[in-house]
Amino acid sequence: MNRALRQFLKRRAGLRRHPWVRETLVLVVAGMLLCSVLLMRLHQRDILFRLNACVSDLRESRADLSQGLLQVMVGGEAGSGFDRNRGVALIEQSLDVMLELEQRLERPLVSQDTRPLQEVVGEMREQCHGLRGEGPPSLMQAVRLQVIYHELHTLGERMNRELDREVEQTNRGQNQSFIFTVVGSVLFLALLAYIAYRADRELVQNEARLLLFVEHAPAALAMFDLRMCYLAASKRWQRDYGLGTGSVIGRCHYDLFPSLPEPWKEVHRRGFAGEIVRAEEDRFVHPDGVVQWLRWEVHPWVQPNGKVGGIVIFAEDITSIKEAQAEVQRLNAQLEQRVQERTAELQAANKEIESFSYSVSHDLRAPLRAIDGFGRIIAESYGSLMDAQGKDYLRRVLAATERMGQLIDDLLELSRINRVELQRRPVDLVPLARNCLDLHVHAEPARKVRIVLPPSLTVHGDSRLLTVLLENLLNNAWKFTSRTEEAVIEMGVSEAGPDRSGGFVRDNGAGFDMAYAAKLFTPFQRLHHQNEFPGTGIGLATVNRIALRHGGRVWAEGKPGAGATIHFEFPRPVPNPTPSP
Amino acid sequence: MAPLAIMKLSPPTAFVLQGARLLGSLVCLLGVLLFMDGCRPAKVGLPKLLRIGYAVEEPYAFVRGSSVTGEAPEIAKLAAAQLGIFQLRWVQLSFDELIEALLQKRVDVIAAGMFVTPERSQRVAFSRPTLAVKPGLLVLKENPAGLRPGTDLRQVTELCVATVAGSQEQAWLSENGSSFIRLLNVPDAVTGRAAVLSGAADTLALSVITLHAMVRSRDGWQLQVLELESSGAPPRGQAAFVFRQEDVELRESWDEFLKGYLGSPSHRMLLRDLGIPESCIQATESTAP
Repeated sequence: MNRALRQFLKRRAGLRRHPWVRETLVLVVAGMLLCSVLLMRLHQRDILFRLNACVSDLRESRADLSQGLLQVMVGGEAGSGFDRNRGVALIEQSLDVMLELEQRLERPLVSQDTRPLQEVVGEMREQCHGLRGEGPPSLMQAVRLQVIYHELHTLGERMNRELDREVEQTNRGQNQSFIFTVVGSVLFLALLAYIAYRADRELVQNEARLLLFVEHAPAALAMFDLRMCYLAASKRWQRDYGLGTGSVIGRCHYDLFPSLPEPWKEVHRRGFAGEIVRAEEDRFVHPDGVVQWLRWEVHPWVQPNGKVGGIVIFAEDITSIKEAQAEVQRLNAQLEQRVQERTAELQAANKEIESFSYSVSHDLRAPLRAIDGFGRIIAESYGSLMDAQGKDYLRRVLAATERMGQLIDDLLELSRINRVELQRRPVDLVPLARNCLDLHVHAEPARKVRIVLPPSLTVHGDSRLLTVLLENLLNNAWKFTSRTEEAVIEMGVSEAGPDRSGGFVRDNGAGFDMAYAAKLFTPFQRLHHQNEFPGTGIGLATVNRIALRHGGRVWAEGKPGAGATIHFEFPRPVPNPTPSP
Repeated sequence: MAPLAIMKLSPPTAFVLQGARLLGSLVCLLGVLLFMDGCRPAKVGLPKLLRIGYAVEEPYAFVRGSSVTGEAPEIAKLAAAQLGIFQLRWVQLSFDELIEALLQKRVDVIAAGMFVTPERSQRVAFSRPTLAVKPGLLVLKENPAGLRPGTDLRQVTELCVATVAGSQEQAWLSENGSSFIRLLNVPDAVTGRAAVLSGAADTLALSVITLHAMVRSRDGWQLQVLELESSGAPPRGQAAFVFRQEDVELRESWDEFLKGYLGSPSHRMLLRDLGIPESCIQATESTAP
């Protein structure tokens, strides 16, 4: 929008500047053309006028001489008042003029008897020299003067005719060139005018388009001159500020809003001073109490001469955005409060459940020990008194108590996992696995189990809980491969991504049906009969809970008779970012 | 008396009065136009003002008092009047300027007794000839060069001959004269006469009627005229008016007048007054077209 506005302002400024520059250029070019032509004409005419003046001088001198000679001829020598020295001087002057004319005509002239002018003039000068003297001339001198004069006159007239012809030809040529120049200038001016008309029309169209663009801009936009009179305004502006649908071009903003606050006028003045003033969000309380939020910017626009010509105000009503933001904040706060409440309730319930579980487990253990203890006493003290069936019943009671004790231990273990405070650190699971498996090997040295361990498998977590996790997994693997001839228990590292570390424990034991995979990690859920593979069904539930407490996860893959693989993943602590230079 | 317009007249009477008033207005307008135009309109196509060029050479054209007179000017006045041209402007020029002035339209007709020559006829148009004259030589009574009537100018030696510039005599002598003849071109006959009187030239070659007029003038007792024969001298000259070739209508109208005037009693009387022998007329009549 700002770029479009700048272009608009530039074109608008150009529209004002362009005609002045263009018309001046046109006038200067045309004036130079005409002046050059006129100067050329004046120069040529000056030469011709001077030549004509020379001929006029010749005519005058000829007239004087002719008059004097006529007096001599008619009145005789004694009656003549003719000043022959003056007559000779006039002839000599005329000869000088003729020579000058010949030079200016730039071609040799000849006398009536085809002799070169230079020769004739030289001869005449000699004759004139002998004609000087005091008093009126003699008849012969008068005749000679008259003959010279006649030759002179003939030459002068011929030269005059040539000059006239030359002047006429020059004038005709110059008039033609002048006409061509004038016509060319007129055509040139017409062409320039046409180009200017096209440029004007284009500019006007561009201005109309830009005004249309501003008018229909989907934002409140207005352009002002230095008197804060409107140069352009968008419809949105007029609508937002209640200016109606009529044109506001030319009207003063302060007249339309007489009670405009002083701070706003100060902002305008800063804009006139060349400063860009803006506010991302500004709160306005209308007289009727309605609150409006605006994002606005006051931008000075610069004329081609570099001076600020006015300001452009862009304003956007962001009230709805602000209201939406407030609603979101309010909902977030509500949600946070609810979460906190629910968390507190959940924590209290969990604590209560854990406390209950612990109490139940702990309290059950005492009567169970009593049952087990007294059962053993009966077996030892009164076993001989009982028949075989009684002994079998007693044996079953003792087995049940033992199994129940195991259950209680497992439940206590499970509840303990939730109470333990995690102390995360890198833990290599391989040594822990080796210790655990060594115990099994020592306990059942007859079994042939191939154990595959990686060099290391490090995860981040609490070492006590990770030991429990690993023992459960390896115990299961040892247990479910008890019937496998070539048992293999393998622990390995799996690629879990840059932010997680994980591994697996795989065996080739009894395996399981994947249809029941979801039940594996639920407490007391067992996929094999107690007689087949004894257990409480809490081990994998404990594994799952340890993984969840660490933010990790476990999952199982298996096939009946083909073994099972239990995968585990734990989050890896995020390293501290390296500070940039 | 009440104005005519408000007099109560019968319709026929008012109609007649209106017609009379209209007719009177037209007559007055015509009269004014005629007055402005002179007394009689010039023929259609002819100028209302005639500029006549002349060179001083008695008896063809010369100035007497403040008026131009001579054989050619007097006939020109009559011809112009006959053609309805009453505004005449006389322009005096040297003889060799006359044709250029005519061609440059500084004058409309030349009345200077100019002879008809083939060279001139290529540039201008001549009227019917008014005179036919023989050439002659003007010499001092003492005749120091020993010239005689009928001298063959193609055979003479060491002779300075004054000729009027642009004249037939000058053209002939330049073309046919003896190589021993030195020509002194003078602007007019007066200078030629002075040249002979002063000794600047041995003789002046010109038409005999001009030379006779010179002898009759002041100081003419010192001079004599030698008439030349057609062989060995410039041919007999036929003086005529000169027009531009494009002014056909003016020339034809002029000729029409000359046809009726030449040889008339008034013409003969004019020549007698100017000292021109009637043989010049007879010669003209025999060569007239």
